[in-house]
Amino acid sequence: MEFTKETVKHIAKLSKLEFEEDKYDAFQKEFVKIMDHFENLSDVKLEDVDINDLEDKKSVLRSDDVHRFEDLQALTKNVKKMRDGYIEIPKVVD
Amino acid sequence: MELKGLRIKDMQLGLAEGKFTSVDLLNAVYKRIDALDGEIGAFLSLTRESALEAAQSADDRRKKGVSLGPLDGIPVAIKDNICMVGATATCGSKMLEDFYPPYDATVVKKLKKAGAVIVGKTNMDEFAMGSSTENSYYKKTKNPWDTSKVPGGSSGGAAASVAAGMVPISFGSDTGGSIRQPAAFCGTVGLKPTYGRVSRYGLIAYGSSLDQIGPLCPTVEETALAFEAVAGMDRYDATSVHSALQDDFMDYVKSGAKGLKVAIPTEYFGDGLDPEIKASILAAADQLKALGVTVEYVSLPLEEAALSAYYVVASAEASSNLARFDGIRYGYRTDEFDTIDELMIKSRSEGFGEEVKRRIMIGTYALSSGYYDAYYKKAMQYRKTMEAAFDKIFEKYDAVLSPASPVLPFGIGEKSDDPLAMYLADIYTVNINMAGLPALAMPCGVSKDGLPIGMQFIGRKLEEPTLLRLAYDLEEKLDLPKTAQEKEGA
Amino acid sequence: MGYEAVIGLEIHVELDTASKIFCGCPTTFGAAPNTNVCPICMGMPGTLPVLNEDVVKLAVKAGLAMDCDISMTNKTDRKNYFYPDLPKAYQISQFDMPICGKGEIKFDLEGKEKTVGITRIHIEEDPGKMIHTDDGVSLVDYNRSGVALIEIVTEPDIRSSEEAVAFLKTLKSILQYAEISDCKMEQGSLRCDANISIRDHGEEILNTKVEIKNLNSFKEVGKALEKEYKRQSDLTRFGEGHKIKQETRKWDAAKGRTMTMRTKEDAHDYRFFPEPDLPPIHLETAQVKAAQHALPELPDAKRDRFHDAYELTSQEVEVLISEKFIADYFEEVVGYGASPKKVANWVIVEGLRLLKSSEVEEIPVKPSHLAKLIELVEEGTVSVTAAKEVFEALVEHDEDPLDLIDRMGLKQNNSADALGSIVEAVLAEQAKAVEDYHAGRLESVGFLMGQVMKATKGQANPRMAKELVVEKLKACCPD
Repeated sequence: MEFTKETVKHIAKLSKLEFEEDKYDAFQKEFVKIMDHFENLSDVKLEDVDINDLEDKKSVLRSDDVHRFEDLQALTKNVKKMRDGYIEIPKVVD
Repeated sequence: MELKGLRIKDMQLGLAEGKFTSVDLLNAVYKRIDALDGEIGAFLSLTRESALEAAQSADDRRKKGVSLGPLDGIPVAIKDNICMVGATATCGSKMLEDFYPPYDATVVKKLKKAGAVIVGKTNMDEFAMGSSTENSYYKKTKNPWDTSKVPGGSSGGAAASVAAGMVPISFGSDTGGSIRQPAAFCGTVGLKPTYGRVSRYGLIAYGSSLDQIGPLCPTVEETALAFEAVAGMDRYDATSVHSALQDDFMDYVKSGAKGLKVAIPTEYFGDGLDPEIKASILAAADQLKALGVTVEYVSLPLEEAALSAYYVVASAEASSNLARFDGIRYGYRTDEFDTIDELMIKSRSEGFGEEVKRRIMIGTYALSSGYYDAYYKKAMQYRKTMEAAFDKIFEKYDAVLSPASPVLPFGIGEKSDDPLAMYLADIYTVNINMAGLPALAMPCGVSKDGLPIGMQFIGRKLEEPTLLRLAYDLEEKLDLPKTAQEKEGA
Repeated sequence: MGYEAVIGLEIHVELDTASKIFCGCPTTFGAAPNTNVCPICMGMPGTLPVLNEDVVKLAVKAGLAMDCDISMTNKTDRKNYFYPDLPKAYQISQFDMPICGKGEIKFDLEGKEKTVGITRIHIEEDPGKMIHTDDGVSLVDYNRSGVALIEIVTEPDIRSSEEAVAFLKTLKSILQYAEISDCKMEQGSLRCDANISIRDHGEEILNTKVEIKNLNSFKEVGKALEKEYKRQSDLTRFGEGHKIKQETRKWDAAKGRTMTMRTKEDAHDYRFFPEPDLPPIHLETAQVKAAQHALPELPDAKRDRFHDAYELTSQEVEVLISEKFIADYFEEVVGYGASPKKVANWVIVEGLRLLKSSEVEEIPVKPSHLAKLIELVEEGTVSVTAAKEVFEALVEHDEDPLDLIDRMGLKQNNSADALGSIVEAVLAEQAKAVEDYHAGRLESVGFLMGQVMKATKGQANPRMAKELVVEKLKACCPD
């Protein structure tokens, strides 16, 4: 299975993670070992199993009632930087 | 006062008879924790103030002749991935070191309503990923039976707090065995309820379709009481199910196992299983027979693909569940950053440990474009076949008897270098989460080195009462020490 | 000979529910930042979503209003990407099993009927909002996070910017009629992205399409499409068609052109997978039938019915049906027995005038009062001019128009005798005018009429006054 350092870097980017350069090699080896092991999944015959067969699961809905959360302060208590009620972060450029 | 050997019913009796108060009980608990936990490391934080208030309230109620039930005034420990106002919920991670949840988990609400006294939050593998509690950012927890050994994971702290005789009940979480394996390693009873039986609202998610909160206690009866207090449908959890426990639930649990039918899968007892564990479980099976339970061998293949399927699903869901930790709204924020991207990437890379990052990467990969069909979809398909395989067995039998771990509690540091080896050791537990079934782990023996040996009963969906009934009877027959404190010669 | 424009639209519409899609937070617009929030819509660890039943109802309604197939079993999926306004770092949406399938919307454009296909409608949650300051920070507000949305995707059936605008106006009308959304683009409850590619006329292939974002009004949609069409046409005409890349371009209203957007990430890999925290949505046939019955008469049908039932011009009908509440008001007044033509006139001229200065979307005069007023004018109790004053007064005073007329002293003077004396007096005063009349200048009648109205402070019945003036003019000096 083709699993290069580039693949690892791409996945890291998608996951918003970064590693030290030398760590990538070690990670790649580990990754390959684990993903190779997962190949045993492809040995099992599963073509006709339909994962979108949702008949046995019932719908769960709530009514459109307004409930205000009691402790707004607690919600932003964990934020590192606030400004005038907003959460402040470095400027996001589109 | 002396906590050793005190079961919940003894506590309730003592409280009722005025021999001691809930505050006395709480003080005894903290005294023991203060004496032992420096060594054991079961707790990450202690909620002394709120616990004292709760104990005092319980005492006030008792004076007025009011009782909220069997857990009123009883000390309880909670795994640190369950949210409680006034305490941190660190998930054993640097990422949430200073995270104070703004709300109580439904389970916590229910425990408070039952009058339980929550004493503290227990140690765990980071974000519940691990089988030894060695992945905790904060500390390692030691097995109270042998402090050179791991207590299992990821609910290692919860198991150790009970096994060390600190509290009579703790609550952990189980995604791939994280209640049952530590219960087996620490010689306690541990119950993973049916998926949906206990609300997940307030449980910091790892594998959303696999997670469940459940109790760990020294005995089956206490486990049943704890389970009763938290089970039930919750309107804040759309995956929780409607199913009330029968009115005479405790009577049913104590009604004797005679007449029940238990299956032993031959494939589960092959070469990969430690011979001491095998012998101990099969001896317990004989005891079951003596109790009038039908015990028969069946064929139920134990495929390694099951492990792969579990890890793909769990990692995929985890990669998504843990994406919210980006330093913006809560949690660890890196010190130096110029752009929002840097803030996110550095906070995550510095805040998460190795194993967590590894699983996030695996999960992201499994879901990524081009690989979804090969991994995630396949794993979900496989999951359906696993459910079907169990359903077939349950047509004839009430429970399946299985090991909870292929190995005995291992030494701290012994296995931490090989993640794949760690994953493979979950072989007996992950299939249950994948199928959404309930399972109860209980002690069945002691190894020649004095380490606990555990086993598990697996049941049909929503049939925890049946599992408790089997276990209750067997526990009486086996008559093993209930905590490390109570082991022979201690 | 130009190229053919191939345009498709993606419209996000905020549903008119009291609470958010997955939690009980209010959806009110304009609240102080981070006050319409709770642990769930802020994506706090450990929280879980629970689906609002009205969201399902309104989505089904929207599908029925656009003739869409309704998927009786559908589910939600996670769309994973990192962005500060997305608190869970995934948006709960619908990927491969949306609640509504293919449908269509018909509308009129310059006398021709046009049909635009709807590909699908699905439900999803809104992210929060960000404000970008000048001092290098962005400010995040999660009030909007978790507001319920439907996303409507059209087939690439639109062929011009005019068609796009007409389509959007029709869509807005339908959604407002069916009370699915208030569709206020300026408040963000309706947002539109456009996709456009070009090809030679007669071709069937679909060339590279460009997505355009940041369209803040229907007008901007039209302008942006025109500009982009020109850009693509120019490139193609000069052999540089390969420079048209599949990309997202931002419409800059101030500069009047589209610009390449800085890409947030390399092509988004959303890693869709079924939402494990939510069970599937099962609709009941009875439920869908009930929703179909509950659908109000939609603009198209109302237009046809108004044409058949009332003798009105096309223009009058268009104005009346432009908003459901106007059409309803019109019919209520007619229901009291007033003549449709007269009611239409009153509603279109006076009613809409009042609306302009009103904050609320309603005509602030009771239908029964307007009906009575029209009757009183027809009887001659009050003149048309005076009636307009009464109409204004009815906004503040919820009273029987007749009482108001009395109080305001606006009763038309219909007594022939009293009027007769006044006319005679005027004729006596205006000798020159009378002379002019007899000299053949008939326009003097108008002048004398004016004097009579002046003398009666406008309360004279004009018709009667005119008759009397002419009568007395003729009588005074027989030719």
